[in-house]
Amino acid sequence: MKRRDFLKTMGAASLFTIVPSRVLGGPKHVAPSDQLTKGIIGVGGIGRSSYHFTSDERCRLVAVCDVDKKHLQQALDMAKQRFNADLTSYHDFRDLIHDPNVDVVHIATPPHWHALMSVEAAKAGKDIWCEKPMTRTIGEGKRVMEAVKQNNRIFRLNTWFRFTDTFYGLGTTVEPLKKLVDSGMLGWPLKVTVSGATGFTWKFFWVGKENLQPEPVPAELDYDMWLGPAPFKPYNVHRTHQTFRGYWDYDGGGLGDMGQHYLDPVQYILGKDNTSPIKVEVDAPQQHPDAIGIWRKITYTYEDGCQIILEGEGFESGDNVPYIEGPKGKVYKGFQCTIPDVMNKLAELPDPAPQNTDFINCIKTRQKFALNEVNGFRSATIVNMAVCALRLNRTLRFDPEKLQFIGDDAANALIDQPMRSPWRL
Amino acid sequence: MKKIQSLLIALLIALILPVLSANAQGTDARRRTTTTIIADGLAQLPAKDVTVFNTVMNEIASTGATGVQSLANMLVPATEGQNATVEYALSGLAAYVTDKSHAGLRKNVREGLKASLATCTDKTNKAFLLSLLQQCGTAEDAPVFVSCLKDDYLKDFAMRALIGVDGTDDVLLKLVSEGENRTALAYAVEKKQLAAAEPFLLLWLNDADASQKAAINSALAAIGTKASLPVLAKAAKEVGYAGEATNAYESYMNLLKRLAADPATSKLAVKQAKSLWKNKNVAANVHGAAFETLVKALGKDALPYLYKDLKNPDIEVRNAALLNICPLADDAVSAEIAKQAEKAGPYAVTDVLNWFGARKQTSEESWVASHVVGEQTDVVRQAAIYAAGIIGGEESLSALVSMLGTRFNDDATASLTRFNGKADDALCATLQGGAEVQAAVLPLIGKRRIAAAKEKVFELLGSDNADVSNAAYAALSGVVRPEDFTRLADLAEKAKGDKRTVLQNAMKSALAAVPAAEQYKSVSERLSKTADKTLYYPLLAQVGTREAIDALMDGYKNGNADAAFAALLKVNNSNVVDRLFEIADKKPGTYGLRTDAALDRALPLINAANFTSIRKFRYFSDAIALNPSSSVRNKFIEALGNVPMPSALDLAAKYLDNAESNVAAATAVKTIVAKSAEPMGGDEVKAALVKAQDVFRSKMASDPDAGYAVDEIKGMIEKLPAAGTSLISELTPEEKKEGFVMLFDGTNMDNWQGNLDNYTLIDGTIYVDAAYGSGGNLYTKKKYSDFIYRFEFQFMVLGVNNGVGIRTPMDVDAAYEGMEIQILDHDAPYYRDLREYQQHGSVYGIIPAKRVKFPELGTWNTEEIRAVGDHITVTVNGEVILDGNIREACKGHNVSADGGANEYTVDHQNHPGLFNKDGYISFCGHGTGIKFRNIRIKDLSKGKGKRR
Repeated sequence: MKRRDFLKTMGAASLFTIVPSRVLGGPKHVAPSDQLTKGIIGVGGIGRSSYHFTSDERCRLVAVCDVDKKHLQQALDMAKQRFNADLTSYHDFRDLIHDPNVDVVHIATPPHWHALMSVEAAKAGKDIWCEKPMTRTIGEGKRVMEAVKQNNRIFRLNTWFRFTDTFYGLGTTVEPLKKLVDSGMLGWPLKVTVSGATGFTWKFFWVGKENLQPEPVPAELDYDMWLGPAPFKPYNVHRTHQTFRGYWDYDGGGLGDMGQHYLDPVQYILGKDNTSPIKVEVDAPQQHPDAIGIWRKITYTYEDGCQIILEGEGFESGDNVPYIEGPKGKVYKGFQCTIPDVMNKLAELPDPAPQNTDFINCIKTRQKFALNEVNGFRSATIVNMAVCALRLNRTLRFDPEKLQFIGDDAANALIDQPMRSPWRL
Repeated sequence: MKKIQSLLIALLIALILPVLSANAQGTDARRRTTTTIIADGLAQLPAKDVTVFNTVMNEIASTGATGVQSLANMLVPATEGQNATVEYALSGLAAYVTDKSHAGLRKNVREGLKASLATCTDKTNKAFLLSLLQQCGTAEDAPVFVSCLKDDYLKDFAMRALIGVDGTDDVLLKLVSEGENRTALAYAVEKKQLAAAEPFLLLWLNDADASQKAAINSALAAIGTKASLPVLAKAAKEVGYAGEATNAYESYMNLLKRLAADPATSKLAVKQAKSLWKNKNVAANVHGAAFETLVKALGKDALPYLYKDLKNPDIEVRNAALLNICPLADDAVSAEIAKQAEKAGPYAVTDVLNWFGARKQTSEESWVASHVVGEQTDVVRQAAIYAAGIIGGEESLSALVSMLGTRFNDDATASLTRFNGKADDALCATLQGGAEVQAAVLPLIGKRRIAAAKEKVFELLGSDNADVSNAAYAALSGVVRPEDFTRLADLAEKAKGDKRTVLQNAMKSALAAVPAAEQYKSVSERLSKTADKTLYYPLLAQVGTREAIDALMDGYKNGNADAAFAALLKVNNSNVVDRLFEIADKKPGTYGLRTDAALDRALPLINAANFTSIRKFRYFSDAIALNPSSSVRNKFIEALGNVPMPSALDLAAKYLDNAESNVAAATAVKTIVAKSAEPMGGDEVKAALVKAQDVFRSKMASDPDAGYAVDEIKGMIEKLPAAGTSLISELTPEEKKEGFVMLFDGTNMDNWQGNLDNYTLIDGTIYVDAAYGSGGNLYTKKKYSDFIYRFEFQFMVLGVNNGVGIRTPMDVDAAYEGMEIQILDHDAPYYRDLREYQQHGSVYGIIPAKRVKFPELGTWNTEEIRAVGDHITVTVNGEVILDGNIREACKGHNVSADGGANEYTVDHQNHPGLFNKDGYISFCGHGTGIKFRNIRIKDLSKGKGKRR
């Protein structure tokens, strides 16, 4: 019997006899057979950070993979030091995914790899933890959604504000916002403004450089494998580790990288987890074809008239812009609300529907994680819609059902970008 | 009148010119050559907004294929120059013409790109051009892509272009028949759905490596017929239906799915899916995928497979089956699934309960509720409690309420907290029950603020059972309303310890809904009558008005400092800021050592307050002067970034050498300089930036974003205006003696007229931010005929185009209606094809100047233009670059006899104003990015007694 099959059937049995299904992981001692294992692909800045580079009794880290030998060695050393563990190390992510000792594949690479690795893991029957942003294009996101569904995997997209932590400038979790919106006290439609004034920063220093000079590839880096599906461009250190965020080929700048953090909770609050805006408008300086620049304002409009406005460089409305504005009320930074005594009024209402926020428990009970391939795809899509509009420098209209732009072939070409051979999705 | 006239003339020229022009290069309505149009466009890139973008792209695309080609030809190898501006232009064009409303210009761009591709030799640039042609190309461009397939570097770009461009199916199929580049072609077949390729792909499989197989298998899955089925079935079986390098399993699965959906092949595909489903050796995800195919092909006839799966010991199999059945799960199917789950046992029941919960299956309320109560295993009951909370309804409610006070109290409470429906009456009724139930329901009563339970809660405060009494106290906050304040105050004044705190919170909650003034009235009445003033301090903090704060300060100074201070820290508005500063002041004889806490509280209130920047700055600097701990100090130093003004910079810069505060100071310095409304400059600002940069550089190893800060500051230093030194220009003693006068000394625009909106006085310079064609030019107030004109200029961005018009009338094109002495950063790589008479210093179109080699951008250049009769002399940076006679240059023919092309001028244009006796001196700009200063003139006509 394979390790994994043993775990599943025994896990179910123990579930029945000892451990209540909703508090799995509660007991202090976890038998090794009931313990999951994970492998991390990409052990650079994020993959080696303390939140992700974990190993505990519920899920043990057993393998790491990187195309940079230095990063790989650092990860191995770190595991030895922190967990006294000897990890299996891989250069090729496919080898980690197909390692029978790995249950959960944790993807912490730059975004241009997320879709390929997620799909490969899904096909191999592995469950997946993928860092934000989910994918670099709308088409890639759709493909991940299909592969996860076809193979019935548990997929966690890793950003978390829809279910935990103080939500930036609001000074609370999103729960009271969700309740407030659901209560109808603000009226409808709503306008959400995500800007410095409401407590968010778009990290405009995450921009790329133009006029890059070719540089020799460092000996420790497999640049061809680092690029993977991205078009070949001569190596320059600024394209890769940490600063890759500034290039369209790999990510989407502050918008691409922070966007899903900020906008996923907005889609949740507005109840838009199964749809997308029908229009995106951008006000920005022209974008370079390679290096990502800044933008001033991005406006999304949904079919029902709800709007999300992103305020960027030089466009903050100042302290007077509400985070959420409806015909009957407004909420400002720090949850300052124009409705008197609002918190007490909210307390009288039921809490929002529960969310499954324990990833390990989700894997064991085969329940969808709170932020999964479906709602995660929608929040990645909203970001990627703006990326397309920015790159073409024009207003785009979108069909949320067909997942295509309307009447704009060039925009649709950005939805589905052919990959560099031999990569395919 | 004059305006209308010149408009008419311009219109006329625009109409006639295309016919009459003998010039090989096209010109536009403003008689700009293609080179000039492109140069003007480039000077405005990257376009600052959509309007500029559309204008520039339209103008460049309208220059035709040759214009676009010449633009693309400006690309140089990355090691030999900077391509960014040209890349903005080209990618902008490719995007612009894909907009349907600009489709008419698409061909120009495509042809231009292709023409340039034919001669471009740099591989990186060629790849870039291919990617643009991929974006805006059509099937007609396919031969260009095909020709690039022979090149190892370019073939990937070319193949992706063939995939990206519409209508290339035949070309791709021909390539398939030729059999090269199989991996990439198989991918193309998949993306373009080229069904006719199937026989070739099947053939290729015979000698394919793993990577080729993966591409071919995937393509067959996308386009294959039943001819491919046995091949993929065999391959998938061989790899054990696992994910691996040849992608056989997934391809087989996808082909099955496709063929199952087609009536012609459905039977065959379903048969294979069934056998896969029955295969005990496949992994759960494969089994699930087989079931998904059966559901799609068979609809409800697939249900028996689900029922069997519910009995499977593997939790993954059961849940995969449930997920896949979702599209068919109407109420009747759901009921049957519940029945089948009962047969299958508690594992399946648990899964189905979870599934009903996630789907909010209200039709199964009774079934779910029945699993909340009665004989159940714990797991099943917990799943049922969870599902019942989501599904709601009367039966769910009573089932959940019945679990309060039991072993499952916590689960039931969680479900009831979010119970979607009217739960109040049921919960109130529960309060009539036994102590255990009462203690269990009271937290819910409090949390959901069920006022109907109020009297009972007050009654239970006195319960003999300590658990019940404590729970009643805890619930009090939720159930009380404004009218209960007095009653609570009566209780509170007698209470001690924890109960006192609980009652304080209850009083706050009771009053929270009424306006602050009314709250204050209620509180101050009680306050005046009691000796225990501190009891009401938390309420005063909630009130937060000036009166309330004064009452707290009174307490602070008169024996109740600790309690009053704690309350002051809770006040949530800026009224309290001055009081906090008063307390923070540690001077002898004042109020003690609460500096840190007071300042830490004040900061967010100041930031959020509607104060002016100057007032905020004063608070920040006062706070720093009060010498708090370094952690609090650092917060205030960083806050200086919110008030970008010179004094904030000075203050922040003082801490750049402080080991504890240097990061905060560096962050503030960077933010202040970046955000300052008035551009900051000068040596001190530069020194602060350099130090801040060093601070970030030292943090790069530990903070990934520090590298960005270093780069950002580098850019800021490069752009820093050279302020700080004197901004006022003066005549030299020699100039004074010779009779020069100042036209612009850096202090005013008194001698100028015209476009004062885009030629503005900044930092002692005339700064030009005119977008091309907007708002007009800048003119001297006086007219001049013979003169020596001296000035300094600085290019701030690559490729700036401006000019000095002389002897020109106003609001016309000086180059023709007067004379234009060209100002142009002709070193920009995209001016490669510039005509000599367009070079810097030329009398435009008449006499070419010797080419100047400019120093780097941001350096001041000096220039002198001497105009005496027909004799023009131009000196730049001390070197004479033009010395000629305009009449001789065109042999006296400034206009042709018939008004058509002029064979005597080097630009073949007519220059009717060339021999003007006098006119204004102007700056005629084509865009932003240039500064002028220290402008002087000596009027030579004066000496000749021709003074006007």
